[in-house]
Amino acid sequence: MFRRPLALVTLLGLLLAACGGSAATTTATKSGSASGATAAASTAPKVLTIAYTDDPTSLDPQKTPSVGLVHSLIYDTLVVQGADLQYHPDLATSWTIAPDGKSITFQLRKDVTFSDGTPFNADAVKFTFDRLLDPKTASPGKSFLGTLTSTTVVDPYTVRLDFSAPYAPIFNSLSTDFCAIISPTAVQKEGDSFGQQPVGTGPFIFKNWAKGQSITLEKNPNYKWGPYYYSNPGPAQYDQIVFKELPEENTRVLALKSGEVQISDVPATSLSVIQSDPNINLVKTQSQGVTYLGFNVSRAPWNDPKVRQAIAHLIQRDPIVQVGLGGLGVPQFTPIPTNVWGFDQSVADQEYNYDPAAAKSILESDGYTPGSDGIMTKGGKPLSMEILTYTTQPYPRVAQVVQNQIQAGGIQVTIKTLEAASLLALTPTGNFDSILIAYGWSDPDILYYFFDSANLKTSNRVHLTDPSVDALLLKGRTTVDPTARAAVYKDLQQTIDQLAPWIPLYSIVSETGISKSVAGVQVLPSGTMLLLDAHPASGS
Amino acid sequence: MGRRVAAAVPVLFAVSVLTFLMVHLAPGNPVTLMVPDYASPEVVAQITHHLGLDLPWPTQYWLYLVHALHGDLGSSIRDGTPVLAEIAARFPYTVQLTLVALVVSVVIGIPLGVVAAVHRGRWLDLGAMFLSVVWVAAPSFYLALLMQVYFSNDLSWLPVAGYAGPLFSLAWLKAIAMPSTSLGARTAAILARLTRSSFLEAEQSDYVRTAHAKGLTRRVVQYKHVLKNALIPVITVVGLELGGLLGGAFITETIFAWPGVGRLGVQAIFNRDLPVIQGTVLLTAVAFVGVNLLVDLAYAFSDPRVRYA
Repeated sequence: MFRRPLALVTLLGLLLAACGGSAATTTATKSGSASGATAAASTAPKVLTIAYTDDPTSLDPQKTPSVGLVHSLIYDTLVVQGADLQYHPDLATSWTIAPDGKSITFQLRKDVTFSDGTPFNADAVKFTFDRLLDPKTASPGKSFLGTLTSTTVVDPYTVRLDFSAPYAPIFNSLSTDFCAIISPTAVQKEGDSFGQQPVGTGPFIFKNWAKGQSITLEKNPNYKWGPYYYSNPGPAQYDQIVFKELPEENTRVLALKSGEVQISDVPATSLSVIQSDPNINLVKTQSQGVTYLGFNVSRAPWNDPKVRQAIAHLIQRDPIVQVGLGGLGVPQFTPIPTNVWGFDQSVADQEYNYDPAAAKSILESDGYTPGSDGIMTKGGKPLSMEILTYTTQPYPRVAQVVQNQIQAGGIQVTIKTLEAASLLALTPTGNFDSILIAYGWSDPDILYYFFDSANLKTSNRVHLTDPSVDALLLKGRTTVDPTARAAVYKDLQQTIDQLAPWIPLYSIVSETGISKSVAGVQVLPSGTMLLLDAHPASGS
Repeated sequence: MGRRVAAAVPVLFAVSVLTFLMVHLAPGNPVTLMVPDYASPEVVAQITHHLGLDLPWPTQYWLYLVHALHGDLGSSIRDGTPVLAEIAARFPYTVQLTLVALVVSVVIGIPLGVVAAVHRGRWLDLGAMFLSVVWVAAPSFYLALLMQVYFSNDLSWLPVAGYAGPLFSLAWLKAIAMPSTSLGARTAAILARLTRSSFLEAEQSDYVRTAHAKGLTRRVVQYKHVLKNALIPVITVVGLELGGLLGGAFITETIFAWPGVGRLGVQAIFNRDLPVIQGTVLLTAVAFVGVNLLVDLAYAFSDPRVRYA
């Protein structure tokens, strides 16, 4: 064998060539379409390349647990939420809510077609919501439709949604891509593989998905129905958007610096490197969510609100944000973050401030006394808690800061980290003291899932059972009038504040690096990037 | 030969049972990871039923086995794509990376070991062995990061990450250069050390003394007699390493955004995507068993004393 080293090399070469066969076909469609575009235009196509972490589960918005930028470019929704946190027309031009709040009638745009040529009309809207409700679809996003029972086509451009009970969060749901309108003909044609061949009415058209590598979208040349927040209603100024999968964060930063991608998230650890780069702008986005320390209120001693209130007085949010997050956070005081509709500043102002003396006197009035080692003790039992959190940063780091702060008040604290699936499986058993986790959503009705006693076995992880909270949560989701609804959530924030099942800590702030060769990118409060106005910067 | 192939069947069966059990004994319902926090219990139940995850797990395993024997490895519970298609799309990339890494490690490792042995005790030997210790000790992600900073960021010679085709083109070479080197460095170091010690051992044997006594030149003895015999254990290790590299390229694939099967498997583990986990583990086992079979054959080919019926 060693007399024939060339034979060995040839064999390896053949093996490689054999492997290349199928690999080449995956990329062939991509390069084929790209060269087609080049041939058609006399100038080179304008391509925007964006880094992303991990393949989306599915590009079918009804078959994915999370929707992202790719979905928002392929699809449109009936309404959109603007920077003012109000809902504005998109595919629906106007709507009327019945006096009993149990039905909403939408007037639709008449000038819209799906990218496969299917006309957009009331039938498409009905098809979309019927499919989302169908148990056979088994959609993770089905819960967002709440009490929706049926969708009725009134005339080709009028559609009515009927509810068994008023469901106030519906506008927020309709503005998310879970409720994006999908092409009925494409779904019927593609069946289960619609998620690999998605068709919507959005500013970009799906072109190719090389799993684990990239997703390529092409400009929708007929798009001219962009919602109000764009200065240009369409079509887009970039010919192509390429999403490049780069799972490793250092790789993403290097790719951004070298210009291989023009847009990428920037982790806190790499901020200084990007800040000093003259070719990159940084844009901050505050997430519409809260990271909190939640107590298992079904377990002693955490079932005692005084203990929870005392601990709340030991928390200092600024050091948590500085040390735990490298400054990339906004302190939060109520379960509804500052940038979500329904947040109430007056409640946030009354929240527990840092006051170790108050914490000590609350505990002492509750029967605790400091032992010789400084640990607060009641009935011979020292006060000690375990914080359960995820293994991924920043959670362990934040948990350590919280641990130090609570320990300073004479309470023993240990930290236990678990990966997501195990942690989420553990909380319904009630076999834990406290959890440090986060949520994100753009409507306060989300609190129904976290605090209502109906959800004890699932998302009510702190095991809160309180009739007044349940009543407020129900009122919040059934009160359609925004002013009255805001008042309900103010009451709710106050009640939760008193009960202190959660100590809200902060909202994450993320930094996005955008090459200076790209101009016109806007970011919504939800974090969604708006790319219809994006264009190559002049001079580059 | 036939008996050796048949012996692989119980191995693969055991692998499938073990992976199935491990995934099922780990806490956590995969559906809780597939739905948003706010999904109602009914929605969770609906999806669980839809995926057949509410069946008792012996039934689930039986169904899996029956389908697998018909060549159907099931579909991803996350995105519904057939596992076999998903793996078939990813596997070529892993094989490309592995083979190139192996070539890199053989081309660097074996000559380095020979040079070290021939110059035993002198500075060339020390230098080569120092280098191999560094390569074994440095984690592959560290080496990868250093290369990315130097070759992509500072010099702009190579792309930071990602696959580029077509095969054997300049773009492909540029794309595969860093991943294969960082993946192959450890193997190169192992091969260098092994070649060196094996070479020194062979030098002590009787036939080498005979060859010298016959008056052959030092060079002829070293390359025709010593090296040829010294390489027998090296082939075994190359084979084992090939199996390991095929299954263990996950870190390199992640850092360099290489669309291979290792990354697919680890993503599946995080998502508790049972059919995909089963598929990738089974594939890795098949590859490992297959590679070892090939190594045994190569063994027989290079050493006339070894024969398989």
